[in-house]
Amino acid sequence: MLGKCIYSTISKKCVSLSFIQQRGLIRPRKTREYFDVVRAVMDNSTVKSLNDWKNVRNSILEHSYNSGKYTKNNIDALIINYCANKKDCDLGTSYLNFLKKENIEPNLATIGKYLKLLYTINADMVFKEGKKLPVIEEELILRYKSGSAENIRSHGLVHFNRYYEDLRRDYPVLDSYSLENAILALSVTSKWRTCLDLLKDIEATATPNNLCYSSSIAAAFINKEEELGWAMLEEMLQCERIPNSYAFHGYLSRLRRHRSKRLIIEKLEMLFLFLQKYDMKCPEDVIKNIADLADGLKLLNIFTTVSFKGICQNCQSRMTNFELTPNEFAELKGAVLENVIVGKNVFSKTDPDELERFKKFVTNMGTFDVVLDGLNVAYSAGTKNSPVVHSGLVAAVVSHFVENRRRVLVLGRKHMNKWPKQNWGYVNENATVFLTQNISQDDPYLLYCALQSGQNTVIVTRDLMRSHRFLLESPNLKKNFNRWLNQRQWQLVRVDEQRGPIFRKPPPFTVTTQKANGLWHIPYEQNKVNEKDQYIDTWLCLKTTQFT
Amino acid sequence: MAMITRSRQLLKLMHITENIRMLNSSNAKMFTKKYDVLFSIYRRFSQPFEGSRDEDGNEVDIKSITNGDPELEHKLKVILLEAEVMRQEGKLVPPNSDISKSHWTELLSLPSRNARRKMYEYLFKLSKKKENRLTKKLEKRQKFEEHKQQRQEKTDVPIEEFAHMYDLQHNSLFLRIYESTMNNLYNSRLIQAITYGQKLVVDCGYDQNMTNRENFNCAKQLMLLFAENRMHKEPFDIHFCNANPESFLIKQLNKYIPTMYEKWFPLNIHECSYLDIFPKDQLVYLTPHCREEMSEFDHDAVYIIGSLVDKVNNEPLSLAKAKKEGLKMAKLPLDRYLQWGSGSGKSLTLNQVISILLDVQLNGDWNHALRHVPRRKLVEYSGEEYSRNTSDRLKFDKPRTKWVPSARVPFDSLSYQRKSVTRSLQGEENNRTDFKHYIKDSS
Repeated sequence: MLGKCIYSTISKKCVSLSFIQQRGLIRPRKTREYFDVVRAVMDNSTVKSLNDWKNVRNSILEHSYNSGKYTKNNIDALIINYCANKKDCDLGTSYLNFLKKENIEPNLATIGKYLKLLYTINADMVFKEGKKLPVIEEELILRYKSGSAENIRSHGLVHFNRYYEDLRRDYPVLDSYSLENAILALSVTSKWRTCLDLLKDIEATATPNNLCYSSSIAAAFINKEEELGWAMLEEMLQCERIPNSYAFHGYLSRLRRHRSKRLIIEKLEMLFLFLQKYDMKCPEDVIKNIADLADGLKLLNIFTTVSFKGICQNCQSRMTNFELTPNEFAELKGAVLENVIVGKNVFSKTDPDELERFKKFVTNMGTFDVVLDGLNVAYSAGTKNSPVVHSGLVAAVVSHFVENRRRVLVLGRKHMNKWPKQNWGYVNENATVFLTQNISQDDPYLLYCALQSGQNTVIVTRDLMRSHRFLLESPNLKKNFNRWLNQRQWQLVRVDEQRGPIFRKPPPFTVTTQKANGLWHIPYEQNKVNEKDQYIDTWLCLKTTQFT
Repeated sequence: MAMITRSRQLLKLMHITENIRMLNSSNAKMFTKKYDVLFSIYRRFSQPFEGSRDEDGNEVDIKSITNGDPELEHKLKVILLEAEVMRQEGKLVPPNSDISKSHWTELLSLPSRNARRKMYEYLFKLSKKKENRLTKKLEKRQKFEEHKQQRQEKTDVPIEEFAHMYDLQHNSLFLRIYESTMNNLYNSRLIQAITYGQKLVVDCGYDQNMTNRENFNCAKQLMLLFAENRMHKEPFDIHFCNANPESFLIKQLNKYIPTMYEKWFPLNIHECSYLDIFPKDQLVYLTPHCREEMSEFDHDAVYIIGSLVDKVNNEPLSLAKAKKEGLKMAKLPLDRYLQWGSGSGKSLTLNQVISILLDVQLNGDWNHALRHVPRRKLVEYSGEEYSRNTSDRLKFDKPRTKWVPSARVPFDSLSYQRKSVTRSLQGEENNRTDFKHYIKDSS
């Protein structure tokens, strides 16, 4: 007996040991898979002559961590990509020279990455500083003045344009990755217009990425095609692509070249209206660019904060709340019914009988001041409490509103009828109640009731309704949905013994670019990540009417 | 127009000035070098690029994939080139030889570039797996050859010794049991189940709601479900309903079970709905989205499992269907018996569901049946509870703390002191040291 015991224990130990050893073996292998060999090798080596490249190339290919990921087929593109990330053009060019010397034809990806490299080193200069020289006259003049690598690059790009035409004639087929890189390179040259055709080509197989769109837009702005730029911005937003700062930098550098101060301000206001229309958050480097431009025009501008109540700390003016227009509101309501409640299959969220009952209820319901998500409130302290706690929470919140003489509508599911009589009876007596079946979803009905009840109705729930927003599909509807919910949603934080329910209320104004008291106020995001979607309190306060 | 001609003139002018500058410039040599490189690049760009060929020259048959549709052909060419560029950029794309014709048609139908990238990644991993399997196989074969040679050395063994060797190909007490014999045994159980067993419906009508990959996984799970069922002591009589033989799902299943449509094969496949076969009041749809928990297994009911893999969308499709058809619904009592960990969802594969149902119909013990739920999805149990819930798992799987009798325990007086002794031992919690003592003593 005992002998058997020992045996089993020891074998068990052996199993676990070998298991750990196995684990131990697997782990470093996993990290090896994700180890960036190119970066490690390149960071630790200096390239002085072309022959050094041979060593670098070999040490990457023969690196102990290279388990077949780096091959002769992809190494060139990866090295050039490294150079592009480092914004080191000379390094990249010397590598291409090395390839030429070794009689290695650079492949399509390598060329694409090199074009991207040329773009990354020029983009800041072209779009941000607006210095670029797409006009050939200017380029010629510059060529005489200095003979640095800069000229060669633009020279190369001009050639690219010419050869590009041949390319398009002979080979109508190019893939989306190469096209994207070509667009980037072209956008900083005078032949930026071809970008538009290339964008169309990409659309055959993919949606162009943010960078491509933004660069083409910046190019359009810089080259005096403002209407085209705006149209492309709209198009981009329809594709759910978000413009990056280059698009705005391009616009601002275009503005700098206007002479008339009045015109500049007019166009600047156009930008602000655009930001306002799409609830766009301004990146920090763009806001600095705007402030810089304003300084140049001697416009009063101050980085400030706007309090949660909507008072600018600089000029003491009050921010406004942007209500949805009745049309937008009606459209949103229709979309919630169509896409969220009914959707592809009525049965997945509700059933036809219930929908009919709901429709009848809605037509007679009148208006409410508060629409309450019963189960969300009940479960706000966790689902594992007793029904007494659940019903007590709902009753407390309802009584809070009833004491303030508000008309309350509570939505929930039928199983709430089993809650203790005292609390649930109070809710039934003091509020209107609509219950769905236990297997139906009550959120969509909640949204519809709140929308039906009118613009001033408050909706009490902690649900951010992201899944329902997703179902609205159109970007414009999603934006309007967000605006409405951000203004009307109260979130229950807790129910205090003395003070009663405590809510997290939205700011009484819309956090977006706006003109208050004749001064423009632009919220901007600092570079840190705003994970919890917190209230943005960093603003730029800008006076544009000083001289009129 | 005038503008363009002017710019062309300027371009020419620029070239001339360029040449002059090059001659004058001190670093003219350097300049020409860079210039050459760029020049070659653009020439390269304008050279024919055979997207249908990869580095090893594997060619893809464009015509047969697209059936001569010019629009599709164009798209395929672009996608081929895209794959090649991705390969050159160091992304995970397998060589064209490992992407089959059906894969290309699937790639053509994918909605976005990201979806294609993921598909390539999947295929890449698959091809690497194949490669590794092949090398392993070769290694094994080599070892076997070596082994064979060694064995051949011992060919002239006397008959007595040969007869004493207890080994494969030598002397053995048992007859070899062939796979077909096993199959016959399992199938006979199923045939018995057709007459006496409980009916169970698998609703295969969701192929339109799943993506290709999900359909693929679903077919595999259906195969496993069938296998799991026939291996069990008391299998269900399974009916695949709403099974459209033209659907990708059923076609794929047919690949896994080639004899599926044979008359003798113990599997019922119906193109019609379960409503046409069974009385409505007996049917119970198992759907995780409903509220009613299945507390006791009903041996008279015909349970329906929806053959649904929902990786992409998690709409309550089976709930909607049951609601629409007015069927009873139930869900497995997963929350009642298990402590779920955060993170991974509560979805189960089809074969896990059938394993649970099989066990529960046999002995009605949910604790026992729910051991088929993957352990990684649960909060870890304390050792004792864990082992109780998984009483018939393999021994080395459970971290059971076992009572080890120590050398100092008075074995003779255990019978009347048992309670106090065990309690004191547990209190001391020095079983291990005792155990060490024992080893020392014995050595």
